[in-house]
Amino acid sequence: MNDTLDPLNTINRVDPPSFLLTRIQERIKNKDATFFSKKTSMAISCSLMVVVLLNVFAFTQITNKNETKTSLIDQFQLLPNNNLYQ
Amino acid sequence: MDFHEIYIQFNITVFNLSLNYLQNKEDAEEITQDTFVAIHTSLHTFKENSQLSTWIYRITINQCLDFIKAKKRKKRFAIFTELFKDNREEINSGSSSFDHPGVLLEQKETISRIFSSINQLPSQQKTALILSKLENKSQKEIAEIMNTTPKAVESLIQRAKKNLSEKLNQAKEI
Repeated sequence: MNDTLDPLNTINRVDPPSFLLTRIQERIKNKDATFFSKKTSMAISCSLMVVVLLNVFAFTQITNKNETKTSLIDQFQLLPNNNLYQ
Repeated sequence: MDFHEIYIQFNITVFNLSLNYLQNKEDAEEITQDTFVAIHTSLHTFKENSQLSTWIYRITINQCLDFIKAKKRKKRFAIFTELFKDNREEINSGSSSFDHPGVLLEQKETISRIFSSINQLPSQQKTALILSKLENKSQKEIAEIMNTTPKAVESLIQRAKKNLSEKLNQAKEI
């Protein structure tokens, strides 16, 4: 088996192109310049999600309350308004 | 050690490991960039109880594995989108062509064939084989890099060689 893999021993080490360091530095600079870090943006989107969910929850609660109010009015056959004379 | 010193000390190692893993110069350049950006980002998390070189080897290998996965995903997506296209152009295979600047011209065909069989090995076996055969790492060093035991590395290399021999024989028959 080693004979078959022997050609791999002829592979030479290669120097990376010199522009790589400049590119890496550029990418690091751009990354540092980003306004929000990954963690911060995750936190912000999570809190926004919570606010939206709370809103949905509150909205559904209000609708339920209104439904119970109207069903009580129907049950006791009450007038739905406070006007004495129509 | 600051980032610039790390780059000076390890850029050749990272570039050549990426080259041996992906066998394409442009891909290796991209991985070298990604690796050093990742090193810069998580340098503060590096624990002194492991060697810096081991840590850098791990990051490079993970970057290479992610790159290969992303390429395979891209290839699958390309095949899928081609099904819905009227004009059937040739599907890009997704794997880059063999372009290893460290390979001598007269050996190019032989080495390209060996690498194409190495690329079919499971990733653990491929990593162990590349680190042992091309990076000349000892089983103990490979075990540290791969976060396993030297015994497991020995078994991985043996299985890799056995599988490779089968694959090369199959290729010869074809």
